Amino acid sequence: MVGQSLLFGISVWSVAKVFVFLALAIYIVFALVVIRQIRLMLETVDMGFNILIRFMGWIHLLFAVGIFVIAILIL
Amino acid sequence: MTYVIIAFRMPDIFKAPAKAVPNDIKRFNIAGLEKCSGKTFSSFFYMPSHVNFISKDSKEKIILFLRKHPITNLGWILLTIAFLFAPVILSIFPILSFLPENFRFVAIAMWYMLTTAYALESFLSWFFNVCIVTDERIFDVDFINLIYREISEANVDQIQDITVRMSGVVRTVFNYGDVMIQTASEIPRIEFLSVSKPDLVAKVLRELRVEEEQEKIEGRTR
Repeated sequence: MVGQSLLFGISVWSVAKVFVFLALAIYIVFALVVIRQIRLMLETVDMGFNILIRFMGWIHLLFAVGIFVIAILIL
Repeated sequence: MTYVIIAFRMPDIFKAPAKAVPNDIKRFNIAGLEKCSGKTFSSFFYMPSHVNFISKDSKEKIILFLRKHPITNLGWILLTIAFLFAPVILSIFPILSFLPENFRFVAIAMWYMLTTAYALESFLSWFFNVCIVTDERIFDVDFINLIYREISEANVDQIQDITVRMSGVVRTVFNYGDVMIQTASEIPRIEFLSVSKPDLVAKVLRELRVEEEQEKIEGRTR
């Protein structure tokens, strides 16, 4: 396969795998920041519609964690 | 010696008229305003009962609660739809064919993840960037990015000039525009950008300013 050449005994796809995990981990941090941001926004302006907005943030985090777990399993 | 004290009640020469309680806000007699009670995702609320914000005083009443017109969301909604279909359309072209199958799957998943982030951020930005007009103050709440919040406020009696700007076909058709408020406060200009019914907003602000001046004259200011 193209790109499977070994450099000091490490394949290119192993390096790519590490970068993918790193990117996904950063994305999880981003999803956590979004939850914090939603909390801050709801503290600033409360429209009596908090549950759905919070739920969106948590679903987003769940999605990010899900993709991370899937990536661990299949890569 | 016995003293008899007879107390006379002096008749009232002048009786001040009962002052209106400042908390009782009159409803403005402006055509079309009463219909704007709004739903959660509306962009124009008149006297909303369910809204609260961080620096609201207990006696303060919200007169207007404004967001950008919903049509301003069209750009990011269309872009999100395009992003969602991009992997399907691009599958015709062998762009990711150099990747192994498992990496291809993760790449597409990451693409959808970024699309979700974009859509969520755009929605939150529209939902929470609001303009609030109370009986005492005006607020412009802006969430610039993930962690930066800016709240500009000015007292109603500090309003000096109100300019309504409505340009372009889309804005005219959907009746939305910018309301520029010159103030005598530390923040010289507060902008309500792309709000629905800008003329109505300007009318309410003018009425509020007149009412505030009246309150000052009558000594009813809080």
